[in-house]
Amino acid sequence: MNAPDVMAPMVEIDHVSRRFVRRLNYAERIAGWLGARTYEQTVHAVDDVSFTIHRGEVVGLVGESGCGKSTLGRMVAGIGAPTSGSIRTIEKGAGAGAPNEQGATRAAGRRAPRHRLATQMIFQDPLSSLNPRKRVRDIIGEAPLVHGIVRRHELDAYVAEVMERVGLNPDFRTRFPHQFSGGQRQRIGIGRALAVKPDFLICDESIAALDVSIQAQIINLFIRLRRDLGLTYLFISHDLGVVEHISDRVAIMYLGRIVETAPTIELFANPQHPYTIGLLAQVPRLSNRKRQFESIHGEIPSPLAPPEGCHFHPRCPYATQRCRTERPSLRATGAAHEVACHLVEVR
Amino acid sequence: MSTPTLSVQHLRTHFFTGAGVAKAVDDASFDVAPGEIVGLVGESGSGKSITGFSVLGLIDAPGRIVGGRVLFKGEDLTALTPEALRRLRGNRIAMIFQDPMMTLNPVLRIDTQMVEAVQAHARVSKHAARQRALEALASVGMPSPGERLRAYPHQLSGGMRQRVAIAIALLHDPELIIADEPTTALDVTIQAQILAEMQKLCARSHTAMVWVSHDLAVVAGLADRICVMYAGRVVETGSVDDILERPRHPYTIGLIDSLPEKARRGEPLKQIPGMAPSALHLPVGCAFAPRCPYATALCRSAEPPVSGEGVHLYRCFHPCSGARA
Amino acid sequence: MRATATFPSWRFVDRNSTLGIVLRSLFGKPAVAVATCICLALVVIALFAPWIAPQNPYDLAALNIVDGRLPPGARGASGHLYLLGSDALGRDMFAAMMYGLRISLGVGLLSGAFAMTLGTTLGLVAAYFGRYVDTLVMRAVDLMLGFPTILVALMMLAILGQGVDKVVLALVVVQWAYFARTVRAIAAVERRKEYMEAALCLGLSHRRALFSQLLPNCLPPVIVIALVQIAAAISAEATLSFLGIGLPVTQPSLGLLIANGYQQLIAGFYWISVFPGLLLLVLVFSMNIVGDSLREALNPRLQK
Repeated sequence: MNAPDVMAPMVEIDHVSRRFVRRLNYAERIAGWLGARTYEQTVHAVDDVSFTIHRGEVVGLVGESGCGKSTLGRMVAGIGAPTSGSIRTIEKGAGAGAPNEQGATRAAGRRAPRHRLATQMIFQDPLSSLNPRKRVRDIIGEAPLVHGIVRRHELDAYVAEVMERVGLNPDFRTRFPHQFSGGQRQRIGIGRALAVKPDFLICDESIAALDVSIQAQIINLFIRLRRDLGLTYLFISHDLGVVEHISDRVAIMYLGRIVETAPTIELFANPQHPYTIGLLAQVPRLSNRKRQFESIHGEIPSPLAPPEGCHFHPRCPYATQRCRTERPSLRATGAAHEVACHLVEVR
Repeated sequence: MSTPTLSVQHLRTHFFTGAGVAKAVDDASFDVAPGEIVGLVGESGSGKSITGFSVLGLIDAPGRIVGGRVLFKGEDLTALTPEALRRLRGNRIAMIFQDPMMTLNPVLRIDTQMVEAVQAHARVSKHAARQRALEALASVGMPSPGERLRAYPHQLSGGMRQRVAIAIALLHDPELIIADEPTTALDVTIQAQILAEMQKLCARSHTAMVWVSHDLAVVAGLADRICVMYAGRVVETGSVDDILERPRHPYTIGLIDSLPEKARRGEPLKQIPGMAPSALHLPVGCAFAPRCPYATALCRSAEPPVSGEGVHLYRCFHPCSGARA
Repeated sequence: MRATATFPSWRFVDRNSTLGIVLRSLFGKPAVAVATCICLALVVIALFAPWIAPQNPYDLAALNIVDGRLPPGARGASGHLYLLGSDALGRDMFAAMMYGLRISLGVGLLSGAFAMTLGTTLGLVAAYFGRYVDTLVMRAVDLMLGFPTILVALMMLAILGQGVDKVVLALVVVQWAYFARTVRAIAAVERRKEYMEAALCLGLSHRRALFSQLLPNCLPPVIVIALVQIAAAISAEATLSFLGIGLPVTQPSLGLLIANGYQQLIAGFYWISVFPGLLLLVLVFSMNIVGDSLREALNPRLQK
């Protein structure tokens, strides 16, 4: 695996939070004035997350339902703004650590088109991620045409080129999405993203809906594109096997917080957070035959009422009093290995 | 050798649609002994789910079973009247679906539904039925079952709903359970919990189970035997070790090799080229031939017969040999 | 890499495309096929009425009052065969009905077209921008739908007076709400789909996202509603004309013809009212059947 030689920071996610507030409607407000106990419900989908994505690397973001990985991915992509914190994109060529003026704040929600186009997203559902009423030629070709990346008379050739790059037969560019299989639709989605010449691709569970043998094809496509085009990836998935295979670095999320991040080999060889240890132990593997399934006890708590202190403490076999009251912060425990746990020694 | 709990013999289920005949299941055969867990593995379009539905007689028009027999403890299910089948379903044969909302009614409370399920096959009082429901929930590892009984399905999480669905399946101590991808939509941690419960239950009550899945790794940890399906046929069957360590059919080998854990990090995965054929247009001869690296003219002209040794059987003219790790 | 789809093909139309599905639903079942043919035939008749009608009922010179109130099948003084009888002024009912159909259909189509444009746009905008815009538009819809069509039309025509354009306006004012409500519901669902998020990612403008991406997915139900609303508009206009406040006497629609013959019913000259009434019934009924069949056919595709 070729790690990028110079790890220039590309996207800086700085204390980003995303809260969803369910405001009281009028009936509940009146009930509140009359003395009933009503209160607004807040979901901290993403809770004070900070990390940096470097140019050319593949970061795997892993977590189970309710952990906020999809919300975070959408904020990085520019769909939806964080309630607090900022996400900054650093232009290519800028000095390491010094964002230039063109690095517009993502939190503003408005930015020059060039910036926005540099980050693209590949979605999960191959069916609903493509407009069913548009032909492939228009799905892939509309955005480059609108943004002036390609002229109208060059459009056809450009679309054909993009389709070949993602492994589709260009003759099918006049067809509609429903005439393709799931794997091919996902390729169309990748082609749509590539057509605007991005640097950074966010893959939100992009292979979860596909068959196993098709997953292999799409994973290989991602690897090849990275090699050929020098792309950076944020690979969001719940499938640890795939993440282990494709990522340089992995971040584990639980209930809106990052609990551990490390280079892939290090994380899988030496997981330190109790949640990560439990998660890795439970992933089914071919080599485990007829084994006794043990599991982390308990259910994932509801995001509406997360536990105090460390979110994981109700299910953690090593929880202490401190864990119940104080939230642990991410601390370095090794080379690029950070863990958010009170019980792990800081080096 | 006792009679197998389930014996599917040359099952054929076809769908007669306006666009042609879709041969969803085209000659599938396998046996399940009492207390055994058989994993039915395949991708979408392989016919594994339809096989499960066919066993229970849940195929609606325009589909129907056109050939073969399904023997449940020696009795042919395809020859039973609908009333006789109804008495078996939920009672001696149970099914667990991928989406628990296929079992649960969203507008009724859990206890109402479970009591109804108990009273459908047993003449007991409501109180006794509720007791049975409570015990069933406890046996699937549901925390505070008394509270859960009074909840509605939408108040429970996905994992809990699936546990309720499993509990309903177990209410009458069935001799056979057909589980159609029940953990596919669940998180890894919940999946592990449910797999643990299922393992314990089957060991304790000697229930035979057919676990339909596309996930070889899950089946590897749970099942005793595996049947691999492709394009409506069982292409390979054998013990778990046979299939995972000594696969003979090129599709099985391709399936195993395309898993990330089988490849070196960062290297491209070995992929099977092409796509599975549509059930409407199955190719002549071996259905896998268009994608098989070892296919010859023979493969494209005739369907391979079943061959093999002992319990390890496969349909291939050129089976691969050689063990793999 | 080839796409799997190989569908059995009709010669020119893909049977699984929208057009294919529409054609299959309209001509598949016998009852619906008959209704479709009737609709098409009536539209053709209405279009070509000036050329195929045996007599121009508005040409006063051609009328002969002596031939008034002749029963169906009778011959008039000039030898002209009155197929469906004649009215009090000697007008051939058959010809009058053709011209009446023309006006009725014209008014229905016009108001349907305008209501569709206005309602669809407002529905799309409400769903896309949400929040205040959505609330505003939807409360307006609730308001319009709360009033009976005839009542609103009555009020407007009382203020505006008679005339084709005023009738069309009155009908549009009520009917846009049906379109807006359905379009907003569909658009609200489509809005959340991932391809709309992709449009955001790709930097497409709001206008493009609305009309290029969102609108095409909302069209099938709009077509269905349009058909049914045209039928409803024709009925409404007939009611208004019957009451004497719709179209002026110089442009007799089917409703006005029915009204004209109303007095004659008691005297036994049934054909002056009954035949236009039957034609109206057949027209509205057929359009409803076609619309219903389309709704069923196009709906499952929406679920995909």
